[in-house]
Amino acid sequence: MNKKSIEYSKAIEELNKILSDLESENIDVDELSGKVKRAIELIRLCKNKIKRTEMEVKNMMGEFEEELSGDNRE
Amino acid sequence: MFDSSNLKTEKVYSVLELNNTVRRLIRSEFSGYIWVYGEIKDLRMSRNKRHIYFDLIQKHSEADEIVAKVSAAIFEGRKQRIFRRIKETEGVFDLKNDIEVKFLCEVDLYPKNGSYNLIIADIDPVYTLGKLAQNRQKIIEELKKENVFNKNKSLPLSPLILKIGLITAHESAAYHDFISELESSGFGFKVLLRSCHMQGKNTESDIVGAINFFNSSGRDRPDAIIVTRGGGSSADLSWFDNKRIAYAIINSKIPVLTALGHEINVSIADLVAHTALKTPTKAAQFLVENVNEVWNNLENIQNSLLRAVNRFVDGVRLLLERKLNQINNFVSIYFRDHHEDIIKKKSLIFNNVSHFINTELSNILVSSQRINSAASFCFRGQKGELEEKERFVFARVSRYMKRESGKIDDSFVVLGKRSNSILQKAYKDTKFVEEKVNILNPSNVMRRGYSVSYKDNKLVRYSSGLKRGDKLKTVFFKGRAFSRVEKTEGV
Repeated sequence: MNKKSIEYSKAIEELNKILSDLESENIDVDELSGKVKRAIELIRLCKNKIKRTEMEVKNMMGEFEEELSGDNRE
Repeated sequence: MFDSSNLKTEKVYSVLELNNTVRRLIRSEFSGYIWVYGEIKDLRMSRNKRHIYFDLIQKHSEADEIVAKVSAAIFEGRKQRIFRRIKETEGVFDLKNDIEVKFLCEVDLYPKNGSYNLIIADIDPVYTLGKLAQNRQKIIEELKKENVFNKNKSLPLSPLILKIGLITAHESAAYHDFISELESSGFGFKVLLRSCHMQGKNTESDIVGAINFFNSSGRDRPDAIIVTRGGGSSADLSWFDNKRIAYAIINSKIPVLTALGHEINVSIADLVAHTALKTPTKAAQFLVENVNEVWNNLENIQNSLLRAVNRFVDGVRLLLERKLNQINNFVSIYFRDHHEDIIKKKSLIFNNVSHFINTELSNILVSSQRINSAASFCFRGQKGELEEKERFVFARVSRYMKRESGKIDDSFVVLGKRSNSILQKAYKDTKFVEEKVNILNPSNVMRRGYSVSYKDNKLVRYSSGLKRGDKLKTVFFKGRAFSRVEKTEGV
């Protein structure tokens, strides 16, 4: 798993914790706005990871390409 | 010097005679057709593209080493027949290098170059099928024995697959199918392409290299590797019944997804892959669906969050409303119980204060009249000056009165708003002031029988200032008397 996936897993874990705190009303009214703000921020971060960037294709040059250019020289 | 005299020489050959003799011997030994099996190497077409040439080799049973080799040819006349026979096996294999084959052939020698050849007449495709299946079975059994079959399958699939290691031939149909399907999702996938041969002799090393490359890349390490190619014959699929490719997938720390384009047959690569899909498009759909689930999960969490917050806020609001009602009830009960008391106190204060003000005002008016009359009586000549002084005094007094009455008004407003205890204190204070005022009011003193005497309109405080015969004016609570001093005492 790369860094992004770990970040995502952690974000989901934290979101579920906030959600269960809210649903069990195991939360102080003073903490509410902070927790909700944090949750919204996490959701925004995850969504941005998925949708904000354009799809990208990167060609990783390998032995195959080197071999091809070798063939072209022959 | 070579001496041939003691060697028994039977015949002398020209090269052609020799080659023809060997040819005859070969033809007599291999009078008809024979079956020969071996492995195809160096497959090539003739210059005019009509005939096919290759070598048939035999390898050492243990080592990867050629122990025998013979040239072979498929002439134009036999080509179609052989291809048809291969096709009848539903295209499980092609005539290509490295496959094991069994041919029906003649053995012949061409005198012109002296080498002997196999002239292929027919093929036994069942032999090759058996060999392929055998080879495949051998690999599968080995993998099972080593208990590595499910190694890649047991890797957890990343919860969010956005970075993809793509192994396919660049610009192939499979490549375009895969990329366009991902693109249409609108998600921000990052595809790292490692272009590879997907058939032919380089397939094995390309794919093994690419899988290892992705596994050793640091920052750009993909979440999943996709090995894909477009549809083809089963023969092409047999490139993936490959031990080294199988082991590369097995040892990959990144999940490997295969989509090798064959609807029915399954290659060994498919068997050991984390997930085997059919086509490049289906592989892309699998990935899109994966991210879609993540997206929906986020939406669900967001909605649940919203609902939970609403419920929470409603709860708090209800609690506050309940408390507010309690306070309201308490306050209205308190005011109902104390309402009359407060009204009573308010009017008491008002009466006292206005009485005090009125008394003071009338006293001042009396004094002012007295001053006025006394002044006009005694200092007629200085009337103008006196009038000015009177105005001055009056202005000061009325300013004072205004200020005081303003203060009282303010206090009254404040008092009206204050609680019960403050009202009571103010009431007490006012009572005290009233008593003081009553004591100090000279008219009250005079009412009790005290009188005031003046000499030359000056108040007499000490008898020492008087002598026999002085005229005195005495003012009583009501009325005045004029007298003369007979005698003084108590100096």
